[in-house]
Amino acid sequence: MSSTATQPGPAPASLKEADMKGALVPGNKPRAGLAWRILQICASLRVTVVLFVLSFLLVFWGTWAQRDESIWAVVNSYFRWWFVWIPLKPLTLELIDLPVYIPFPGGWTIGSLLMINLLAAHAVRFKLTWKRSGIILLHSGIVLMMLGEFVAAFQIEGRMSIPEGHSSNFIESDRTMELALVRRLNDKEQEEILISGSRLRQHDGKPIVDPQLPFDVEVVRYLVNSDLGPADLVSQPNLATVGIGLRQVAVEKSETTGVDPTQAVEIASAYVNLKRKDTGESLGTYLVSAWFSYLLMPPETVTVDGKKYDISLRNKRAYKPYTIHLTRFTHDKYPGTEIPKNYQSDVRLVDPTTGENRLVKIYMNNPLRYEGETFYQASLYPMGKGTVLQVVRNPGWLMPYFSTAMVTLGMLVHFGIMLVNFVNRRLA
Amino acid sequence: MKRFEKVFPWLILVLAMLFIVWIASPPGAPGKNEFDFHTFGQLPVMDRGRTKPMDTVARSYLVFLTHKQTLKDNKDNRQSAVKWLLDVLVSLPPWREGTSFDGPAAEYKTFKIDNDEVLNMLGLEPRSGLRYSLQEFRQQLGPVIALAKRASNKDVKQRTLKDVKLMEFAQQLESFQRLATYQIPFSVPPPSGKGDWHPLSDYIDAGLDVIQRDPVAIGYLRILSAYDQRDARTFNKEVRELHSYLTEQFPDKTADANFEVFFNRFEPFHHATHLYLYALILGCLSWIGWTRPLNTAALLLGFLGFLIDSWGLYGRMDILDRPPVINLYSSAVFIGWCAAGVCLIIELFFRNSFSLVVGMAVGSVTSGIIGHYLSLDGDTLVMLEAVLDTNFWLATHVTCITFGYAAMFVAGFLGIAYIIMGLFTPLLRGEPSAIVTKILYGVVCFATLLSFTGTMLGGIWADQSWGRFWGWDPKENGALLIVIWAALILHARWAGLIKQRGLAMLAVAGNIVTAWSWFGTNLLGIGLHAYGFKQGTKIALITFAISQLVIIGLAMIPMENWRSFMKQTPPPGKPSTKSRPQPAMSS
Repeated sequence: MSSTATQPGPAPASLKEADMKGALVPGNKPRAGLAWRILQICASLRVTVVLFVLSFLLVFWGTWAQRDESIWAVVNSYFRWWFVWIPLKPLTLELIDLPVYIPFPGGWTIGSLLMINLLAAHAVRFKLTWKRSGIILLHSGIVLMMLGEFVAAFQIEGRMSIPEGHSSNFIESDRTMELALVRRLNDKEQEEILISGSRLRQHDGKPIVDPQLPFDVEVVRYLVNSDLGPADLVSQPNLATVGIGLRQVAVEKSETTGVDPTQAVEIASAYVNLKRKDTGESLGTYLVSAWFSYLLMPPETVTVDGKKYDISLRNKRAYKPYTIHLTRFTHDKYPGTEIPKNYQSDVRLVDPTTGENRLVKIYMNNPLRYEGETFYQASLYPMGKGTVLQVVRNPGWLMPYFSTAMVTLGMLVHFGIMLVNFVNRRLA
Repeated sequence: MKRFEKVFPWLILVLAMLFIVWIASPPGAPGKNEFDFHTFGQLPVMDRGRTKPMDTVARSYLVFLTHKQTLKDNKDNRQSAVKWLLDVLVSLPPWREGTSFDGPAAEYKTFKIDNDEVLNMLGLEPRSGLRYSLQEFRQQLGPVIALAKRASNKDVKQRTLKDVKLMEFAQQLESFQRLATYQIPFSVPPPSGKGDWHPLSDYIDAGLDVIQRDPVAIGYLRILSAYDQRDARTFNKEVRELHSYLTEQFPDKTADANFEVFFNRFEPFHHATHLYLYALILGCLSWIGWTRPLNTAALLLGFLGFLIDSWGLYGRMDILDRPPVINLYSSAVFIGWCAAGVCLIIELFFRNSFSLVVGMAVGSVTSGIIGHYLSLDGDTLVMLEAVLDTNFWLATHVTCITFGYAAMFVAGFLGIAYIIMGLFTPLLRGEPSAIVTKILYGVVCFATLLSFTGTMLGGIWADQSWGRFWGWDPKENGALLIVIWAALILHARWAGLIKQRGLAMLAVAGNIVTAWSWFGTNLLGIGLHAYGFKQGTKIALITFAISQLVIIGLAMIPMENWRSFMKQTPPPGKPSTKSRPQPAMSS
């Protein structure tokens, strides 16, 4: 408190200034050298303020961008990247279609600079006193929180969809698709040949060749998000020549944007033409769609030289050593309304590797945590009874819990000290 | 005179209290030929997922149709919501032949139609109030309903304003029709006490045998037919019998319903808002003269209002068994309550009417005006979607973040007060400007703490529900913007980049940020967080933002032109005030 006596004038500001510019206050040894000078610039509070302004603008623009783009596209281009081209259109309140973009630092850049600024500030002004204990605690919490967000950027998300009475032992990726060509070898084994969604999306007209397959795959059309409709009611040329596609047509739907009220999962469909390797003869153009599994429809099959393949377009799978069996799915509503009251999945977790076999209830705000993965009640089948569990693996999931506690406590201490001093001064 | 100065504030308080007691006193018994609407309003029914009194049903559907709390009949007499509901219930009763709704219910101007095209389609002329009766447009209904149906089948993004308005109108009609045909509310409780409630229409469909076996169903039909025949005596007798039967069978639900009727009639937020306004006026007057008595009176009225406001919040919590904030409406009421409470406490320390006036202003604007506007959807005591159905997170995250909004608004309005008072009055000369700045600074610190903790608790909730702490969704970002802005203000102050005036300006800008987080993100789309989009909100938000920018612009006027900081000839014994005043520290 000695500084209070020596520092008259605007109370909080100049007190703080003196505090922050610790190195310049008489009494502290002035240190020379270029490195120190640079460190001091890095530690400047003015830099902090500028970075806050930049992050404010970035967050605002990153919100606005979600009007047109999906939340994931925005997160990956605005917040989890180094720089971003931001449109100037929002400045005109969207009244003028201004096709001008300016480069702007992305989340990684601003985050790193804030981190440098914060660490430098503490390096320059580090003093372990009670008065600064709150600040140190809260800033440590901020560092931890930023690291947590960095770790979270690499978290793996997927989902597990299980119809009631069925089991699943794989996690599907939310956003990556694959074309699976599956051949049963015997009761236990099957051969899976997978073509990634990104290859399906490349419309270069070249057929996809796999040495293990007796045919090549030519993508006629790929729809990122789609609906299915009966062929005779949909007025668009039907690309399919065989199978379900003769009865059902895939219709293109716009991709889900970040502000979309439903935040519906995108459901892809594709038309693929299969061509025999030996003769080049077409085996037909098939409709494959992620809808089929939701509707519990059997996959399309094609038989070549006695080898029978199931063809399906599905979300990319990651197989697990354990199985989750959905014994019951409940979806309660408030009486006389359509307001959902509760979704609950009663599941049995069976893991032969550990011998686990137990019943678990997964419902809103009550996830299952198992083997580093967390299963959340996320959604339900569009039709019929079944559950969709969100599966997340984030090794840093506890970091925000600690950091929130640290920052809150730090602020309580810091502002508490300020308040006590203020009241004391007033009483004096 | 000295004595009167001491007594005056308490005199004001006693008068206000007498008024409140008079409001709260129960209604007298109905006269011989008057209907006992009060007891009918107390009957518990099930509607939109919760048991509530008939009174709430009547009020909430009436508000939903008219966008107004009160109703006037064609002779310009004020009618109670319960009377309106009864008129609706006998507009096409099952014992009368016919297919169209008749009687007073068809004549009340209860349908608010505020779209020119819809009005035109219905063959109506725009008129003041834009409220119309069923009678006026029933000939033109057919094609309009068909168009509304087509609109509702459209993809959300394809809908035009006309489509939305058509659908709103169709919903109004449907509510009316479902009320009149007894499909809502679910008025007959399960006979054994366990199971589902059923609408009266189920019993009517099932036939007379079934009706006669259920005392509640037959009771309602007797009540309604007595009302239809304007037989007040039978009506009152049957209503009281049914009420005592339900009281016996469902003592808890009836007691809750009785409390809710009292709550509805008392209108705590309405009276709290009025008391805040009177406190605001007295607070302002105290700057002109007779400072201490007026300030004390304002403070007392403010506290009385706060007490009633608190009771109102408690009442809502008690009825729903929920923490205070569950939807946009309750967030407005809660912000008003927090702002008033915080400012009243600060006022106890400083007694210069500044925080009092600011708190009363924020309290009456949010709780009174914004809250009133948001309550026009119908019943504000709603059931919550599955993911929101957790009292723990509602009590922590939602309460904390809403309190943070309140603190940001208090800071922002203190900023406005600083700028306006400094510019146009000499009131900030000398010490007051430093004191206001200190209060403002303290409130910003408080707001930072609440906003940060509230936002991060929301992240933890999201982690518990969806397995991700932070997803950069619009509402999360909105909350983060407040945190960044608050942190920016504090760091700018510590860096010496801003002083008193800058602090005030940034705090005013904080109002825009907070309003954006509160409403703006809802405008971008309707997600889980976005609970309240309404036409007109956008215009209100933009207007508010512009008004705040104007105030910030005013603050750019050089300080030597501010009335409080102008150079003046020094009064004897006092040094001249500098153009940029050095706040006088007491230490």
